[in-house]
Amino acid sequence: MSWQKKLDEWHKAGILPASTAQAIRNYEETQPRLTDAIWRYGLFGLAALCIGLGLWFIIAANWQSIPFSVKLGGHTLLNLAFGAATIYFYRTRHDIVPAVEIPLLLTAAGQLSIMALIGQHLHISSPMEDVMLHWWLLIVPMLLLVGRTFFSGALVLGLTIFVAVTKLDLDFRAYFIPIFTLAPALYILSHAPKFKSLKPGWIVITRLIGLYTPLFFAVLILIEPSAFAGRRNAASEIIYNNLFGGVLIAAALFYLWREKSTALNLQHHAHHVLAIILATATAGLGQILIFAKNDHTTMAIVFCAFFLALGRIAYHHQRRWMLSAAILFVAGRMIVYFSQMSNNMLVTGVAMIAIGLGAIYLMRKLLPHMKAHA
Amino acid sequence: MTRSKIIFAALAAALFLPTLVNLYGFFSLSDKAEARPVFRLKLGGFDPRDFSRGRYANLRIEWLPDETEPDCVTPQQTKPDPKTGRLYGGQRPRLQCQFCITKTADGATHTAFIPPDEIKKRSCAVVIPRVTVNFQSNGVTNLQAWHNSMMRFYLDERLADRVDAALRNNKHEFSADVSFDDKLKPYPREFYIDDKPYRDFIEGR
Repeated sequence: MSWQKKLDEWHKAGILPASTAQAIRNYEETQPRLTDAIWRYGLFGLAALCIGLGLWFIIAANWQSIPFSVKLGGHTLLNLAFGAATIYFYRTRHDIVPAVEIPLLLTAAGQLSIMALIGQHLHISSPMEDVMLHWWLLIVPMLLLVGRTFFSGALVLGLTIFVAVTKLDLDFRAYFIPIFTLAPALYILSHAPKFKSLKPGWIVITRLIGLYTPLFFAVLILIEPSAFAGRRNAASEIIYNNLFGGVLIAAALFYLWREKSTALNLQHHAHHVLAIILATATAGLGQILIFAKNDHTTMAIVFCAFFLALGRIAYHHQRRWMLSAAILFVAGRMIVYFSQMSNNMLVTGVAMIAIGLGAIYLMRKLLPHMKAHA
Repeated sequence: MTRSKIIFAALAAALFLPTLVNLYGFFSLSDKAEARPVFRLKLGGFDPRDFSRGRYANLRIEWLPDETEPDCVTPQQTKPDPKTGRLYGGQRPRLQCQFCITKTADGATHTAFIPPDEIKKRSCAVVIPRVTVNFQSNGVTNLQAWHNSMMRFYLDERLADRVDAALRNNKHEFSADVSFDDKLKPYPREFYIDDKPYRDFIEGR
């Protein structure tokens, strides 16, 4: 129940005088709404996601045309930049764990991918255990020095066990494996700050990441990577993709349910959840229809027009969750359409950047005109 | 040095050194690969893969020599296989013929299957030991190296499907420019279809 309804109830019950109820109402209306912040962060996240994926697709589409020296130089600079960002945030924002941890994990992951890049160029086919041992040697010092979260601990633990078992031919039951591998991980975990100690701004962003990460994968799955391999329109793949998308959405719902007792309650998140469910379910339905009719263009136009109309109604009635659904669906539908029609990652990448820029435009133009959520 | 400077130095080393180590590894491996002689060898089997969208083909060197010393081909007759009728001479532990790879004056690759005492007389650039000889009933000699003869060759993703089709088509001959490291592990440098670099063959140049 919203606070406005509660106020009305208390006023009707004679607990609160009309002047006080009106004063509370006046005060609250002047305060920035939490939903505004979530909406803006969410839309910004979606825009950043689209632009990031778009750039990724454009690079991927031209991967074979990019000279190796440019790839190696670019990747090296990226790795060094992640390392520099880790040091910067470690020294200036030590209390904000994600600010340090995210560039740290990206630095660690960057070592593995640059090894893969070099290996492909020189046609080296090293055994997996050799690759993992090399990676372990490179990243464990940085994870032990800087890492403070479960992810760092799990990475150190998992890699150490893998390397120990595969490279040293050790038995899983050997006593010293748990001692030498669990000890550093437990040390890291014991120093990991509690979730509640994060600053409010980061709490919002962290939870939105928790919400939009499944969406990210759902969108990726809906794009159907198989479309690029010339195996599109396979019924089993469509069903599988949508089932998988459903599981991810269920994970998002579980995450939100678990967080409902906190300041950001389920009611606030419900707008996003409904938007995601609607967007994914309709995109899935659209895919099945496309499979039946084999007419991508008509279906894309019909569904986009329907959801744009829905978005217009939502805007008129100030229903943000409907507007969210419309934007998310149109974005998802356009991505699927471009990927299926063009079978070209370059076109898809450009389309996604356009969608991301469109989301930023909407955020700047439409949101200031919307009233506080009532 | 103050405590904070030590911490900073340790952090910088932990975060930047791995990238520099990887770069050093690349230049070191690249220099070594450039310095090694390259031989054009025929390919036997293949195993096309599509692992996480990274397209590569596992190519197998076919150890068929241009020249074979008579001592290395005399079959040691044993019991024929009841199913195939093949006579397996199997390994020749006494003679232990070896695979000698040389470069001719015109830069071509010459391969020979020769006894060990011949190895010193010839200027072999690479000697592949422990080669097993199978004798088949139809007289065809099939050499197999115990040595690892599989190589992973990363293909241009845009051409991978057509290369895959060509590999599955038995009408073509495949070869590769190969260099060997100190442990005799083979590294492919270029892949040829009907003596043309695979890019040229696929694009009809």
